[in-house]
Order: sequence, then structure tokens, then C-alpha cells
Amino acid sequence: MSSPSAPPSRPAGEPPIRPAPAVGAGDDPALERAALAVQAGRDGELNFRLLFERFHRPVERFFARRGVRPEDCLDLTQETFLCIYRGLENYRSEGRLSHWVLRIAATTYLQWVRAGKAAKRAGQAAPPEEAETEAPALRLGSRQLDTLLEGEQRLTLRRAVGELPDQMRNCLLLRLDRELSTPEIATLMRLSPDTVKAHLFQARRRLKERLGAAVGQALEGPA
Amino acid sequence: MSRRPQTIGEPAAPASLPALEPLLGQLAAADAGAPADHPDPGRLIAYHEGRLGAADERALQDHLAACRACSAALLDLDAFESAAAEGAETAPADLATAAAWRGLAPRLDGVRGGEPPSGAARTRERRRTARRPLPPWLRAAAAALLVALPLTGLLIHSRRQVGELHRALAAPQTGVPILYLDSTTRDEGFDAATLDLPQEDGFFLLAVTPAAGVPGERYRVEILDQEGRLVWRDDGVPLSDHGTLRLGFTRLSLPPGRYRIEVTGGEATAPPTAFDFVLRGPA
Repeated sequence: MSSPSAPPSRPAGEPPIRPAPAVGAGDDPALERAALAVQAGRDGELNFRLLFERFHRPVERFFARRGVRPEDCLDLTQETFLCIYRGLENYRSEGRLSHWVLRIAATTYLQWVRAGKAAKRAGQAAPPEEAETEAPALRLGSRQLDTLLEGEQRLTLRRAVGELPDQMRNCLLLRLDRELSTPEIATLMRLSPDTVKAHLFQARRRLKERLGAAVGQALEGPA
Repeated sequence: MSRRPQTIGEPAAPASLPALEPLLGQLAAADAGAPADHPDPGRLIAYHEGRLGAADERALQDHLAACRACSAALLDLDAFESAAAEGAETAPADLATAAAWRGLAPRLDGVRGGEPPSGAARTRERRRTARRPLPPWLRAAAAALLVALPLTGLLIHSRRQVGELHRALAAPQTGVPILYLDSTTRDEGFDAATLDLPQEDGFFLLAVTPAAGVPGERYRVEILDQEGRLVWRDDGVPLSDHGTLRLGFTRLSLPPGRYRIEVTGGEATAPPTAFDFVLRGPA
């Protein structure tokens, strides 16, 4: 396997590698038409199914990303789509449909949180992650590394991670600490997936060189 | 199996939805558990759209690497926009989406109860559809075409189908290919059992092994396609002495594709067993 060369670094002022979505780029007009058809009562179920199939996974993922239990995800997803169906009666097509659906999912989630369902089930559900206040350079992919490293080694690793270039360090932290996929990291850092892969490869190589093979192996993760 | 969702209090009132930016701020606060030094949601959106300067962008990237709540909000924004984007790849709905739709669809009637659209919606619809009537000769021609075309297609299809079935039935039914299927059948790299259809036309047997059962006991078996539509059903399939349910098909009646099979015990006391499988066409 050929090793990628050093990841391209982006000087200040240079446009991002990952093309930015065009400002004001709209949603698929077919979706807009489907929404208006449901509103007008034309083939309501058929047209609503088109919206459902397009947004089902993002809505479900929206709740899962917030640590909602799978069975509650199903409930909240259904509730969100019922609200969308109900709300299409008053839908105005001035804004983006995708933002409107996201707003309904967010409102449904916030109402659910406020209703105390999450707190009530805290004993069973995975507790929400605590807010992180540490500087990124001090945090590590502890799940993989803490088992291997102790005391002095951990401190050395923290220093080494802190000395990585900014983008490389951020990519590494998002992978190790959040266990995000390459496309997700690419979205967050506004980079191409290939650049993210190159950053991760270089970060691992540098840490391995500096800290030895044991750390290098621990840092190996999914591509 | 769909469950009726729990009530979460007064459902969201979409007519009075808050705008996206304040909502993203509330989400970040709710996700982080406590107010924190989050960037203004407007900046988050500007960053997503590539409208921030290099220095602001770098600062925000450092925050995103540290803040689970803001990165979740940004990933959601991207996911919803990507799903709705013009020209987005629309993969066929997977089985989970199809099953979720089956759970939701019956509830839609309850939401609007088949009630007519509001006055404003009716007015918009009337304006949209107000057109000059078609001349009578054109309507007659269209009606004739509407009747003739499906009938011709149906006739051709039926003749082909009957021919294939006739050939299959005329052949002696020995050495019928058997495809074995149970909930644990998995090929490496596949998320569902994958079976290869036989090369020849004609019957094949699908031997399904339910989780547990008594020989002679009858089972209800349903096969649904990827869209969740019922393809095949039998309420009384007996369990053979070998512990399998033997279902006979032809390639016409069960063509290559992805399916879900649901098996319910004859006594209806055991929960239904359901799993996905893929039929691959002959190479």
C-alpha cells in the first residue's frame, strides 16, 4: 500500500478544499412540489411518502446523535413526521424545506427534553455526555489509549498531540474522541475525505515515530 | 413491528416554529447540558456555507473539535440539506424506512382525518388547476388510449407468465433446487442472508427454518418486498419433520431482490421471527 505524502495544508486566505455549498442553493424542487401537493390534498399519502423517504434517515440520526435510546428514536421520529404532516397545512415555501424539517425535529426534541422524559429514564438510558471544557490539545482518544497508557506516557502523548498542526490535530481528535467517520470529519472541518484520510495517516505516523509502536498500534482505527 | 409513540405533551406547532438560528442555539445548550461559550448559530451556518474568513474559520474548527453539541448541530444541518439537495442520490428506501412508513401511514389519517384542505389551500389549488376544458374529441381519444394500452400490456405479460408457468409445470418435479434460509444465514460482507436463484426456470423450494417449532404445527409466513409490500402470504404452512417450512416459488413469483420474511408460530403465542434476505439472479 502506498503511503500518502504530507497532507496539503491550506494557507490563510486560500479557498477551502471541500467546495462550499452555494449560498442560497435550494432544495430539490420535486420535494417542494410534493410538500405543496400534500398541502393541497392531492395524492397526500403518495407525496408525503416521498418526503418521508428523503428525510427519514436524517431525522432518525438527529435523535440518535443526541444519545436518545433507539426505541425513543422511533417514537420521536414518528412524532416528528406527524408534526410535519400536520404542519404542511401552514407550510410556506419561502425558506428551505430541509431547514423547516430540521426545525420541526429540533422542536420535537426540545419539547421531549423539557417534558422530562430524558430525565425520567436517566437510570436506563445512556447518560448524556458531559460538556467538555478541556482544551482540545489536552483531550485524547481515551477509550483506546487509556487502557494502554499511564501517567508519564499519557502526558507525553498529550504534548505530542498538542504539537500537531491545527487541522491534523482536530481531525485526529474527532476520530479518536468522537469516533466520527471520515465523511463526518470532512463535513465538520470543510475538507475533502481524502484530505482527512491523509491528515489521520500523518498524525498517526508522527505520533508513532515520537512515542513508539505501542501508541501507534493503539491509534490505528477504521479508515 | 411499529409501536404507537408516546405522547410528548403538546406536539410541536409548526405554524409557530422558531427560526433556525435560535433553535440551533437552544439545541447546543440542551445537548451540552449547561450554557457554554458556543458560537452564535448564525456563525455556524455561515461557516457551513463557507462565508467565514480564514481566521474565524480556524477558531470555529477548534471549537468544533472540542464541542460535541455544536458539531452535532452542524452535522445535522449538513445531513438535512444533503438529503433534500437537488440531484441528491436517492437510494431506494431501505427495509427500516419501509417498516417505519408502515408504522406511520395508518396514523396519518388520524392527524388530518381525511378533512378537506383549508380554505386558503383550496383557493390556491383551484387557481393552480384552473384550466380551459379539453375538446371532447381529445378527451375521447385519451380515454381510448387509457383503456387500450394497459390491456395490451396485461395481455402480453399474462401470456409470457402463463407460458413460463406452463413450462415449469410440464417438467417433472424432481431435483427441485432448495434454498435454505434461517435467521442466522449470513455471507461475509452482507447484512442479510444472500441466496442464489437457480439457473433454470421452474420451481425452487425455499426451506425456512423458524427459531423453534413442533413438526406438523402450522405457521403464518409473509414475504414483503423492499417497499414493504406484501409479495406472498400463507396462513397455514406446516413444519416438516426436518424442522423446515417449505415454500414453493418460481423466479417469476419471487424474482431477484431484497425481501423480508416474517414467520409467526401457529399458536400465535411466540413473537414473530423476521429477517431480511436477498435473492440474487443467476449470473
